[in-house]
Amino acid sequence: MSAPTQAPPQAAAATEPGRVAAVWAFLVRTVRSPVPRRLLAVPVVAFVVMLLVFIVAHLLPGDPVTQMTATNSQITPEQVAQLRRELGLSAPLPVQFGDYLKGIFTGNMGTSLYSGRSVTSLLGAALPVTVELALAAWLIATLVGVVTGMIAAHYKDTWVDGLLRTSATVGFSLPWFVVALLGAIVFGVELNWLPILGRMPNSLNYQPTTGFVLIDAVVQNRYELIWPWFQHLVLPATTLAATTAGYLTRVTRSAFLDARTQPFVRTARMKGLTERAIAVKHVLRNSAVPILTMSGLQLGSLLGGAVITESVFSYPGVGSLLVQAAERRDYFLLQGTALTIGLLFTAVNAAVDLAVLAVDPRLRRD
Amino acid sequence: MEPVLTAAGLRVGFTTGAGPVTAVDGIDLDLVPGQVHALVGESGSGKTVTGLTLLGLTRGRGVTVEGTARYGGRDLVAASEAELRALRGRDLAMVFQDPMTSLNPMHTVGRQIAETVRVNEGASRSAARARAVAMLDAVGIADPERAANAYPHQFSGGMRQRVMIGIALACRPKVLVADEPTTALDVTVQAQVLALVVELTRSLDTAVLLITHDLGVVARYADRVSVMHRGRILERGRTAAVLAAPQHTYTKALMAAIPRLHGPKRRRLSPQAPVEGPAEGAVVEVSTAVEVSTAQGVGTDDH
Repeated sequence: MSAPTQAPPQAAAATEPGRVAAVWAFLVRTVRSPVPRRLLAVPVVAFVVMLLVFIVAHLLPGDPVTQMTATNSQITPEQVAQLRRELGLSAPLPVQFGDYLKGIFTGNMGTSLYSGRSVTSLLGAALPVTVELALAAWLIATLVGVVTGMIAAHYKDTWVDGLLRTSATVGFSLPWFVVALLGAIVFGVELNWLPILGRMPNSLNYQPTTGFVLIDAVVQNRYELIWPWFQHLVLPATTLAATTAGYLTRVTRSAFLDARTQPFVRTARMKGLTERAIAVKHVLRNSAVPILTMSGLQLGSLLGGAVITESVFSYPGVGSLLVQAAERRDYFLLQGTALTIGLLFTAVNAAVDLAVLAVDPRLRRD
Repeated sequence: MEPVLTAAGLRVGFTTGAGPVTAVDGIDLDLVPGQVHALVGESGSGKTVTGLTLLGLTRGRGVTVEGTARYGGRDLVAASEAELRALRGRDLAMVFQDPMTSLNPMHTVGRQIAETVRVNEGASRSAARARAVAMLDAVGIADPERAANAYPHQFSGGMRQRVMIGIALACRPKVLVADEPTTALDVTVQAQVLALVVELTRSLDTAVLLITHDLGVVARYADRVSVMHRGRILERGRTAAVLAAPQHTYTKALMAAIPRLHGPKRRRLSPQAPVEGPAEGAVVEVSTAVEVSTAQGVGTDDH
């Protein structure tokens, strides 16, 4: 009689630690497997980015109050102190950092001292523009770089290879602003083929929904937006791409040449595959990891390059915003744009690492 | 039995920075269906180049191939690249020495076997996949259905070589070149893998050119043997006959170089080995002496 009644508690006692152990094992496995581990690193890196931006902003000489009151000679020291308090600048640094973090998460990153608009709304408008530009440039650079790299590898040590390698070196040796100005002068002014200022003619009266023109054109059913948007995008995007593509040409070429000498290529040949199939299915896939890594890092540096390119072409992205903020000592806006670019970089790097994991099975742990 | 592949006067030369090098210097070979023909010799004797040349894998800048290699009414030496490509994988296949690098690390092993079936037989994706699983089963890999989805790095060397054999035999080739297929493997796995190659090729009636430097392997698995040295074949014949009564000094030297565990004392200690010295040094002296005697044998052949 007593045996059946006693059995369930015993079983429960036996399974409880088992379940805890199973949950623990699951957690350990999750943390150790590469994808979640990489994703867990993102908030850590993001926090460091936030901290660095905060510190740099506070190390800069002159705080927003001196900037705001510089032109006002009648302001009293009391009023200055009051302004400091209102802006939260009189509190100790850790408290200020806490407020700043809270602001980031609640979408309140302060107000632009110059325009009076909130930093969040300014960034919200500028971010899609920069993302569009960087992605377009990255696509062009990757496509051109990988294709020319493959061609150079295929015609190794011939004049084709020499020409491509030389152009590649010239490409990535030129500073962005030189390419930008050259492009603007040649294609915009002399040939008058392409617009050189802005993102969209004002006459079109574009009202962003998502901020991404391609998406908005579909959502708002305004397909007439696409062509002018594309025309405005061509010069800044190719300018950015020009310097990056050369780099990828060289990386692709050497990765390709390296993969081509691997014994599994001989195996593929033994199977009776055509040289083209070998190049695409075996060589390219095996050279993908260095190409992908480099191309991803380039996407990060394109975000930095966008700062200069955007201001040359008056392209209303985060880069233009950053340059304006720096010129006008627009303290909170400067902090916000720097943070945005830093966080974008973090996200891009995480995405690249995940893409590399997806491509190379050896890096995935079982 | 009629040979399926007959090479005559095969000569392969390379242009190198240090001048022209003749790797294969006019050799004749007959490969008979269902039989293993061993090509034995030391490193650099031209064995691998011979094997690669039969599949047209030595072509390229700076390489000259002369002679003939008759297969199915055509000459593999004179055949166009497209003709050879059509034969490779389907009629002529090869297993390479190093299974660690011969498989594509980015593709599943199932896909790598299926690829040759798709390319050579135009099989559908699912049919090729089914053949891949069947091949994995045939080469003795447990749970082939699951193994097909695994990547090469998840396998041991022996299993990778089994996969490579699966790739090579997936389309039931008429000729298989096995280039030192077990040299890179653990000694305990070597016998299993060789037995597998011999068993499968016998059942498929495939002619095998087994490239090796191991006379023990020759003795156990080969029907015929050709002894190769410096691009030439010095001696050939039925394995039992050649090994029982080698005619050539070089063959004798090769046989003398086989390390023995249980041979008579006189064989282990070469007469040239100095007897003085520490006892543990004696083994080294023996092997040195054997190398010397090999070199001497070679010298008398060449001059």
